[in-house]
Amino acid sequence: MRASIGSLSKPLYLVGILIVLLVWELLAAGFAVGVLPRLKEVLHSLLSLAESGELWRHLSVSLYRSWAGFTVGAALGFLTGAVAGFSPILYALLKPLVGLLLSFPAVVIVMLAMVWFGIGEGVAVFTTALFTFPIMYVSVVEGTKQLDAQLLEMAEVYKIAKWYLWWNFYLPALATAILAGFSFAAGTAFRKTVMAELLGSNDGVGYAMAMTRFNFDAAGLFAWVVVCLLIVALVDWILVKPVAGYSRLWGLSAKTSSAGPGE
Amino acid sequence: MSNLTKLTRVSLWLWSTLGVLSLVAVWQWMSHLYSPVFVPSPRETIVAMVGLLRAPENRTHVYSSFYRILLSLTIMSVTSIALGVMSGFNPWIQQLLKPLKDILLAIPPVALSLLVIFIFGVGTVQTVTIAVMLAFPLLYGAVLSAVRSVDRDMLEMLRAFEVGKTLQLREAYLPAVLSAVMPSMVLAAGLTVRLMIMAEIIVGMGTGIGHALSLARVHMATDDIFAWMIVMIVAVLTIEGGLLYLVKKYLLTWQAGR
Repeated sequence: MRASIGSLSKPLYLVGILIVLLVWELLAAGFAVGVLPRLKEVLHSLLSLAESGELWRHLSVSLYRSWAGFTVGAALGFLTGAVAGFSPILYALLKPLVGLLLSFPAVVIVMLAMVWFGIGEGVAVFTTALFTFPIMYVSVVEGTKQLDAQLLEMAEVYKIAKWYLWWNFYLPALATAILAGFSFAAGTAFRKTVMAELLGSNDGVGYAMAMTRFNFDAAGLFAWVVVCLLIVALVDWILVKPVAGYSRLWGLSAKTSSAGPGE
Repeated sequence: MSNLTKLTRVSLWLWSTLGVLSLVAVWQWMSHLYSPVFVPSPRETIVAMVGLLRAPENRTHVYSSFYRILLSLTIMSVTSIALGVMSGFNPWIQQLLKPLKDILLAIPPVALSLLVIFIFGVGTVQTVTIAVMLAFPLLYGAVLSAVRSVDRDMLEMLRAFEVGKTLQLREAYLPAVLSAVMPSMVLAAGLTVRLMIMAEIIVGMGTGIGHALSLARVHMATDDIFAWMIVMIVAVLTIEGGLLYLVKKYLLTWQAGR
């Protein structure tokens, strides 16, 4: 019943991509003429975006904002998570806040941020930081739950220095959970930045996408979508792949990806 | 480390309540620091909420959002369970669907929304399409791995005793899929609520909570935004809690009764 396709899985993946592209091209050429841009048009649009420098201008703005928001949010999430992982009281105190942040629609925060900061940089950075924080926090707290209680007790008995424990024991053990959270948070940061820019900014990838809507520039929109997908793939490739390799070194298996369900 | 279990359930609950209270306290304090245009006080928010829920047009907004959310949830569950089961049994289908799943996971949700608007225009069907597509990978993945992880020994045994296909499905696959799918359903439901609000705002619907939020922002009515936020939190918690209750009640009794 369960056929093995082990060595075929990569080629099949490519076939799947080809099918997606083929269906798109057929639809664009046959059914939805004028609605769906042809592949050629999208590529052309992508090239002209790159040539005019518009691609890099908006992309660098978005990357900077997601980096800034990510850094603030992930740092806060890591610190509070590291404390809450060892302090049940703080964990219980923070539970409502984290639950709230995890169940908030991001658009609503974007709208509030637009009232608070006005159109511009602040909206994107604030939203990104606010939604990076709970992801990192939860990963670190979950990581501390994996620690071996007996080993810890032994360390206490032998009065081993705290910093030594952290460096040689906690961090490696926490690494998998933290890095999994890290890579997912990185993907989330970029998506949240794009959302915030679409509604409340006058530059960046999100803004450029909103503009394609007003100009009825379907090929341009698809080109920007391709850029977004490439960014996520790049993050996976630069951040996630080495991370997975690293945690395998520690004998841990991490299921990491910067892509994940969210809004 | 099970440090967290050192605290009893009751004291955990008490500290969490204190957490909620301190959130409200910080909120109250912020509202003193800033003008109500930026941070309305909890009191003002409750007044605004009562006012909102009194107005008949807002009830229409809540109903139409709710209708869209239920519709999306239904379609999403059916498609992802069907495709998940198919992919679980057939690795070819799984591999062919994988790029689509990866794209749906990686694409910024607003970008997908714009794509749908470009291709299909504006309307209820479009918002539902957006929510279904973006929530699909979550449940699909859960179903897929549930089917794949069905206890092999159990299957061997069932086959050795030449148990029929229907019994195999009922005894081995159904319990595995159900117990894996139910928690993901709860997550997917919360996700769908958030996706629907986003879709309504991006698509620019004339009804729905998303529309009401857009209006509140245009009018700089921060108290209304806060009020809608509370309405939404209550909605998400109710839907998740309701589903979780059903899961606990029926799934557990069903498993115990087997």
